[in-house]
Amino acid sequence: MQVKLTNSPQMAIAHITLEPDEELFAQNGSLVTMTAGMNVQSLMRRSSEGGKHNSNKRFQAKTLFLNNYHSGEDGGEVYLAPALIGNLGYYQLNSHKLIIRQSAYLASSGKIEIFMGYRSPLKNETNTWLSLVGKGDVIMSGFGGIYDIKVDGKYTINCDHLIAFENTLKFQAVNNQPSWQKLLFPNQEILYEFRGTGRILCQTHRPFAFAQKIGQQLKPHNFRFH
Amino acid sequence: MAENLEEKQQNQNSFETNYDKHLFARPKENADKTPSTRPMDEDYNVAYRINKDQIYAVLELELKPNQIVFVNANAVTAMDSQILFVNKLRGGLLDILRKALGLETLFFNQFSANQHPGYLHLSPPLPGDVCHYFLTREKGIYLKSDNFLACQPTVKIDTNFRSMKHFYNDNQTVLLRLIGEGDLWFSTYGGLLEIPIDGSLAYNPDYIVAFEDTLDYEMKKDERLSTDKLRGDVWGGQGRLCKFSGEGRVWVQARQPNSFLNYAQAILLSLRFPRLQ
Repeated sequence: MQVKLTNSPQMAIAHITLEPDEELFAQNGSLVTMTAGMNVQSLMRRSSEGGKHNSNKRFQAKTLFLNNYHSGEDGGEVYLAPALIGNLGYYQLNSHKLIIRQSAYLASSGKIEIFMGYRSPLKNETNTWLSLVGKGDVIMSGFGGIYDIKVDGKYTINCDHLIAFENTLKFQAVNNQPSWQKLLFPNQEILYEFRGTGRILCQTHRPFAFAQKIGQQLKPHNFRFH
Repeated sequence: MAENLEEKQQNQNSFETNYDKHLFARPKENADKTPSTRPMDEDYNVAYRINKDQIYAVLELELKPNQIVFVNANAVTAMDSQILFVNKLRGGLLDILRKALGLETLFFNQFSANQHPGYLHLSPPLPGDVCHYFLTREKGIYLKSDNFLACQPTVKIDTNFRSMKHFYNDNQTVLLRLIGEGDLWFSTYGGLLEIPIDGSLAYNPDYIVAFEDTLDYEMKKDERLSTDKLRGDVWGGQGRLCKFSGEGRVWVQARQPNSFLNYAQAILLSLRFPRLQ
């Protein structure tokens, strides 16, 4: 499996060439082109915790849809594109685990196993995290650019900018605010404090803040119903 | 003063009033087998420049007097004092076609220069490249209707082409077939992708902006690639795949606007009605 990132850094596209009898996992709906004889299957991963009828958002089961591309005897080519504008990141996975945000995951080689159930220590968090184990290549997408930070000791990072981090790091939510401030301003930023040695990958912009900026301007009478 | 007025009237008379003649055509009637390339005639050619800063491209046209250009109505950013806005092309055959297709985006404006050459600036609604193509009589071009920017009046829409609605995955966008002879400018969202054409490659049609007439295409529906039943994505999830054969050129864009719409709709709903999610 060879990975080329073209058109970077503004609107990157992943050009992946597969050897004969090789597998590739990719996020559903990210395909641009592929060789026509390739075998495609769609898979579903579901987190073990939570039931279907539970109304609480925290305990709801979360799902991830994947496409499995299996190349034939001659090998194959796949072009993948992420949903939003921005750059792509490339990471080589070795013996340790990588924990990645679900919306930032784009593709990984077939030898890597994907698990859904990574529990963050925060109670009210709505992000879902995937944990990747194995040996191979991982491609991730960011909103804007991607940069990495090498941590040795302590480091504090905003939660919305975080894409992925290695499992050798341990993290904790920072709790500096007094409780009366939380009552007044409930939607404050969540900060993480990392400890240990390892790498952290971050994106330069926040997709949710971008959506919030649009959503403030929307009013119901501006919608046109045909 | 009187002479000036007469000159103006003469200028205005030189614009043709029967627009339907320009916009629609039947390719069999004007089949002329002389090979044609872009002429070197300076009175006929529209001088253009694509100002490009990384992926954010803007088109600049230089119009001479009595030179007419059809322009997408949403794309105009700036123009000279010499530029004349002639009229909006509404009503008639075009309006019927637009209503039949359910389109709102297919508005053309007609621009020209007054007495001296002037500049007209156009910018596409989504960030990306601007491409130029010269249409000849042998080759037509298939174009996504959202990505149209400007053309000369000798470029026409082919009405005999029927399968315009079934190419893309959603119901909004439409594939047009353009024929005739002249300059054509169109935009691509997220920049141009250079993918070589083999017989073995299958494309997602949402990423295709334009392709030449000489190519034959074959559509297939692959249920395993669809997203509308699995994830609840409304836009562009039917899993169509397009395969080309023959010789020609394909323009592919680097992002599709449908995936941005899917993302925005999911988030905006939860912002407006937070209890629904």
